[in-house]
Amino acid sequence: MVMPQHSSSDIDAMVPNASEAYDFLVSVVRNAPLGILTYTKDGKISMCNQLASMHLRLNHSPRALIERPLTDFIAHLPALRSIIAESTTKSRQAFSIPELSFENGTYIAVKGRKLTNGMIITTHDITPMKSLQRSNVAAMLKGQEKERHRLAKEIHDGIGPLMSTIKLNLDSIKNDLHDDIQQNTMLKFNAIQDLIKDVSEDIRSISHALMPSALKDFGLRSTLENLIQKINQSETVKASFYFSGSEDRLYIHTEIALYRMAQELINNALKYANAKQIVVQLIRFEHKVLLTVEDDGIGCSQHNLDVLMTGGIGLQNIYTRTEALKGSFVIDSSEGNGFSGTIEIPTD
Amino acid sequence: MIKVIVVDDHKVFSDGIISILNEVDDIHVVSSASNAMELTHLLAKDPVDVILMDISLGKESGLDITKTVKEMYPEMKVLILSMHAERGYIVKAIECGANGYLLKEIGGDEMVIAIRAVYNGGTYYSQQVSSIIMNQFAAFQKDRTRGVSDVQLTPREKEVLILITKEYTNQEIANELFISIRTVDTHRRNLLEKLSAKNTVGLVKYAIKTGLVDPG
Repeated sequence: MVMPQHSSSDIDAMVPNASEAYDFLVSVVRNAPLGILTYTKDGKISMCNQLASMHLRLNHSPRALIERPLTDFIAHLPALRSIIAESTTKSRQAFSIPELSFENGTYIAVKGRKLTNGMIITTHDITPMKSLQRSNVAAMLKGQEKERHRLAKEIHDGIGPLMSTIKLNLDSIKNDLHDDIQQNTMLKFNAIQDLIKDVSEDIRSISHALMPSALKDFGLRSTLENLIQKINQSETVKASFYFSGSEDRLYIHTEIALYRMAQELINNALKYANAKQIVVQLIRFEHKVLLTVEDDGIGCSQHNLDVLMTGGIGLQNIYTRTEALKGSFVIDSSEGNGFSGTIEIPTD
Repeated sequence: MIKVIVVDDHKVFSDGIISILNEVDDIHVVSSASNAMELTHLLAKDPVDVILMDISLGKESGLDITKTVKEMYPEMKVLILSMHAERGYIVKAIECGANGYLLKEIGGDEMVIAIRAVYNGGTYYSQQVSSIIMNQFAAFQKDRTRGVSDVQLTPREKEVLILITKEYTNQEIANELFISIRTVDTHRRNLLEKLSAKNTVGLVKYAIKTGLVDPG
């Protein structure tokens, strides 16, 4: 910890003389449970503690950082770098970056406040909070899927067979009906049969939407292939599916999550994109699985994308799910140039 | 007389089938079972000609039972009668030796036709099921003519690969295809993985070998 030589009236008020004030301040900054870093108006680091250097991966001891431009040390943090570069030119009162994520899986929250000469940055390791949050979301999603599975099973195995039984019995009554039965009655009878057929189909599709039983029994690849085949049967869009890598099954919760996210992205493409082609790809790498959904539709501008990301339940859901699985979700789209969503989930 | 046994864990449903089938002159449903153990007991006492088999039997799978039955009684015919219309189930049913596959939504008349067909040594698949089988067969044929080991590239990957062979940088590819540089990088990594290539040279070699680009 190195301090530039200057005294402050606040501190003078607390301790009797300047030298004691200095020692006191040094010990506060050194022992604070936060990373603390200040820089001058021209962007040079004026004070820094060990935690700040560690959190921001500045890769230098605090002593070596003093008087040097902060932006030189944060090339690996483009978001922070641009804010700091900006804060030295424009006078900015405060800023806050809720989370910076690092390769090794840690998350750091960064806040900045204006000082009389320059700014102070505090850094806070929020990794434990993030991981708690993640496991909460994961548990919630797991519970939700479990409930969906139960409902789907109940509908599929409970109501489904009952409907089939009704249909069979009606069929057998039809055979008993005499030819001299009124035509009107026959029409009504046929109408009932048609209705029952419709209800049976509805039941099956509801159950399938809740949880495709093929997902559990045959895995993600097969279920996605079914989904694509179904789209090609009913829609005017040409959908295709590509798979490569290991055929081994993934952890079932990963498979369910990936299936839901693929569904979400495909639905977006069907509903809004006005696409002619949808390409879904699943690639199994050694340590991760990658899912992409691309379409050649109208795409969307950065602005609309921002609106979608904050307001669109669908895309937000995908973020939440990838977060819970420690994965990433990247969207690439511009107006008139289609839409692509890429999801990567680590598998070990 | 065709002797039939119904395997289904929903009593209402099997009762319904029994009442319909027993009205048919040449079919006699001897009994019903709701799990593998009941079925093996019944078959040991009194073998039948045709088994109508459900797939979802609580904790048990009708497909596994089909396999066991076919091993024990190769001559006995098994007709799957299920709610499941997905490819995986149908393919597995055929692998397990089922002689036919009906969806539960079919009518009594079709069920009778199917029972007679498998009894006479044929096979029977309801309409939706046979179209799924045909699709599967078509896909299989396509794989065979292409060589299953061959990697399939998406249209976008092919575009990226062609630009890579033209020595475009990631930034140039991004500009050309109106996608972000990050996406180009993802495509590049995917290409390397899918084509088991170590570097760009490997990608170019593949593009030339498969005629995607002209070596000239």
